[in-house]
Amino acid sequence: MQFSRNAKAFHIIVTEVFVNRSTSPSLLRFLIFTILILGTVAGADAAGESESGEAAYPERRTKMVEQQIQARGIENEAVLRAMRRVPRHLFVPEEEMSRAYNDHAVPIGFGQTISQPFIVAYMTDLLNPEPGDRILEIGTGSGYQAAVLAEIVDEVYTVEIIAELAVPAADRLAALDYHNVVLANTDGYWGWPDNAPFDGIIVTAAAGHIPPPLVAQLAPGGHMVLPMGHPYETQYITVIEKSMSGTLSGRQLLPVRFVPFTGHIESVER
Amino acid sequence: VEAALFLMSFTVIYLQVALMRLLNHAFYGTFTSLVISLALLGFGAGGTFLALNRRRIEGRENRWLAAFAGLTAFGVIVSILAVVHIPLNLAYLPYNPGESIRFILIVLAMLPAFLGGGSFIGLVLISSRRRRGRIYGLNLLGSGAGGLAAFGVMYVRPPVHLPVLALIPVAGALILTGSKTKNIGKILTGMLAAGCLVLSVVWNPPDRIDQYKDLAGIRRLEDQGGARLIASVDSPQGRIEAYASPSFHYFLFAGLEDTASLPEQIGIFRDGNLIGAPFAHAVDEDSSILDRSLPALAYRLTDPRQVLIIGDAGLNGVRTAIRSGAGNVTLVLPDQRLKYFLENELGFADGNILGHPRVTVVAADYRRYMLEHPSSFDIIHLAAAESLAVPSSGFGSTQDEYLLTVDSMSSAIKSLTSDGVLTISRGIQTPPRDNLKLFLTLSEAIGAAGIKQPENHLLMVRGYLAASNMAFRDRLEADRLKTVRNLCRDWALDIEYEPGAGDAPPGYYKFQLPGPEGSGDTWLRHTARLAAGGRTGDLIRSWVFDIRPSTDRRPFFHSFFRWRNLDRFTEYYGRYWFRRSDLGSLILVISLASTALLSFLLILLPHFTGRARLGTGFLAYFPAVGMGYFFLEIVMIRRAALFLGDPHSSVPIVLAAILTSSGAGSLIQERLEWSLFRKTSVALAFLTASMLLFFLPASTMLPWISALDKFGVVFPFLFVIAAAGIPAFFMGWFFAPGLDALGRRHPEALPTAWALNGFASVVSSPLAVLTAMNLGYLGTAAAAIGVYGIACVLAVGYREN
Repeated sequence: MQFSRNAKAFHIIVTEVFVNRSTSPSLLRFLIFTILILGTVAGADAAGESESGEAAYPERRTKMVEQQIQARGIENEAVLRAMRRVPRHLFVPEEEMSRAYNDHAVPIGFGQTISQPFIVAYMTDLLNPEPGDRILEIGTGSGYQAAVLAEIVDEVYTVEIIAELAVPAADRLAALDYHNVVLANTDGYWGWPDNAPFDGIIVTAAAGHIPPPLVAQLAPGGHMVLPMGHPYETQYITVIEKSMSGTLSGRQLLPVRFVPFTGHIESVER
Repeated sequence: VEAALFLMSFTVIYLQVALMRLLNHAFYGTFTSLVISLALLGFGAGGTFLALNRRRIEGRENRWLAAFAGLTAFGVIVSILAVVHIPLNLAYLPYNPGESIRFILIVLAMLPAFLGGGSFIGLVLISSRRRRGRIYGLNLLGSGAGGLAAFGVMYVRPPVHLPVLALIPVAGALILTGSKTKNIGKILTGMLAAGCLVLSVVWNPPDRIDQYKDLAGIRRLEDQGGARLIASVDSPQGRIEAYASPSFHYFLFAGLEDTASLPEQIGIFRDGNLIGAPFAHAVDEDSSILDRSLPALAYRLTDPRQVLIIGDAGLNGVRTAIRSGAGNVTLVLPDQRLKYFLENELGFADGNILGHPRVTVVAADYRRYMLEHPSSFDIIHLAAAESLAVPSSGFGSTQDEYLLTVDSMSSAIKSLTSDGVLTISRGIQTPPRDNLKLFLTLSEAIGAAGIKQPENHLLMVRGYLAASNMAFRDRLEADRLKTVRNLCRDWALDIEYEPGAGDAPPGYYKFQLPGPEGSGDTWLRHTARLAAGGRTGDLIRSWVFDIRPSTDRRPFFHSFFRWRNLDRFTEYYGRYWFRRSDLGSLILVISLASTALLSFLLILLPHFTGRARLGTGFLAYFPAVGMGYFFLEIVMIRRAALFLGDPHSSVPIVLAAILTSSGAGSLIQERLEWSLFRKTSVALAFLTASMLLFFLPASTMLPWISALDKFGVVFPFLFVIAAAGIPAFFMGWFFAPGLDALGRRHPEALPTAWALNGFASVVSSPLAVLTAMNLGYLGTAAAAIGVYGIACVLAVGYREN
């Protein structure tokens, strides 16, 4: 714990003292970059290993919800309750368990991740799920997002194309008694027409195209939520809304508020 | 020993090029500098080892040479094992200590081969007190041959097999040096050589692909029977693989309300990155999704009699043109291999669209083709810019892109007919960067093409995933704008910029992107209007990303990271800042820092321990020469990519030309009975003059290359070899005579000189790229000439007796 606090304090001091000086020369920037890299590595390790053991997980989950989700403005009580209940550490590989409640995505293999807790809560909130709803999820991954949804709605249909992820996810969800989740190991592009329409569709794998079959299976008044962007890039969330008359509109949202201007151009009159 | 030296020099450069190729294929091009640094670190650390163990080595040179060759053989095997087998998740590099450790292990595993090779060459060079120029020349000739051999082998073997073949010349060196040792040495080296030869034939390492590369996903489908490899081909331009899968769907350019589903597609990957997704079969009604796509827009805005499509490996652009009623469509592909691949191996794709009577396929350099066809095309579609994979663009920040420069775009605009349109589509990022840089580049290019008021010739339209930037040779008049608005309304597209664009009214967008607070505009619209309104300078200075238009002298289109905005990334993304920044630039700096640290520990620090002393101030000559050599090498390799139209070919060709030519220079200079100062100053004068050729504008150089190309495809290569060979010949006049001069006064300082030269070279590899990214290639060349000048000044005070 002591090391963790020291690492964080060090990181903050460096940021405050050096990084915020916009006129720092290049050499100083380079040194800062090196220190930040080292600080990030140290911070990552320290934060992850600080508290472990089965008994500590409920407490860590509560803290996760308070510090990472509520603190960032998510107020939907159903979403917060679901995030408090689902044992996230059981959805990650054993070697990543100690990092399961950290404020970042966790790799689950096969180029996939279990999203950052805030992103899971944020996307769930955007979907606006309610008891009685039927939700379709494309990209089961570890099954964590499906479990969170299953805490709120009546029926969750989830599709995963990678068999090595689908099979353990199905076992995991069954073992945790999420019997209202139905999983299929197939191509999500075509949705699940037999059970359509859906009140909401959540696509948890980055998409290179919004599949028209999914749009067709979205009920009027429903929302579709998709992440866009590659794991190596700034990812953002896209929401597609289908009006009661069937017309579509969309908007892109960033998981953080990012103002791209710096300096004097901020005052330029548009 | 001389034959063994040739083979070891061959091995080191061959292995260097082979590992660069393998890492580029398995991971990303950013690691190129790391391999170069490690190779040079091997030389530097080898020099230090020799300096510290002179007494132990003296009299036992043959035994040590055999040991160094053995270490190289061991290193080749270890480096391949590490690259293909050690698990690594680059996205979590600074977040998971396990990933950092595994990354360091891969780096360290690549060192022994170069340490063995560098020590071998260093020992031969140091122990041959006479004919040092000949030895140095043989070293460079062997190195040049190794580079050329690697280039040739790339045509016939996949990337993962390339380094395996390095075991063959090592086996030769082992046999030659082992034969000079005592019995046990002969047995050991013989066994090791035999093992190397057997491995070079039977070893088939797994073909690793980073789990985040596009190809990794389709290979997972292949493992479960959901995809199959149709065809593959190897070349220096990369390994191209085509997979068929009913579960593969990729199309960035649809409008929000497009109800047509994608037909079955084929994924074409180059080194694991998706470069195209043609339709597997092509019944005309199946491809109706193309009719309302972003690239189709241009066909509604002009009469498409003559259409030029650049680099459309996915063939969707060609199909769009045919569906839109284009008269004649010319598809230009960058190399013969890709042309052959698409026309033959994938001849069935999209209903053999390339066999359509209105389609002509040409393999040519894009830039030269456009220069050769002024005022010829009604539409130019730069489809290659679409396949410059957006996901890997962060890793591509250190790579040249001569297609997306002001000079290139200006040439494209001049190739348009009077009512022609140039169209380029790219994926959208938030905050904007690619499309904003494209918009500014097009704006500058229109001006460079001699057209007044560029803001009246530009249009930006987008869907929900991508935007099309269009440049019109004619001013965009009201009737055309009306057509654009109607089409966008019908196809559910949004107009981000049109001449005279005002504030976006409420409810304007079908798909709303983030924008300035309190405004209905998106950032794209806001910034495009600023740029069009004459605020380009302010915008470029203030934007969070580097959006300066790239030019032929600084062709880093994919470089967006700005050091001065590091604080904004850390502020907004917290500990995520590393993953959200351009990893290419960051990993380059990490490479610089780590190799500088390693070379400080392995090369410089031992010289401050008291066991070996620097001895003379003249030693500063050697790092200066090392840095100058490396900076010019990088400049020539990168500039030659413009002349050859291909960065992959230019690396081995120019490298081989530089090494052989500077080797020849080193041999020739030995015959001149001149002082060191006279030699270096004459060399510097010729060097400076001959480098000017590399900085003639493309509009002058490319027609020369085209003229040569008419005599035969080999002539542009010969031109580049000659262009690089002349300055390189004089670059060979510095190091060996410097060693000679030092050896006469301070022979004990020779290993230190070797080590210092190695240290400077190690640091120079990533430093040269960073310099070029900031100052351009002219600035980098000027810096090189400057440090060579310092070497000349040091030579003044070191006149020989």
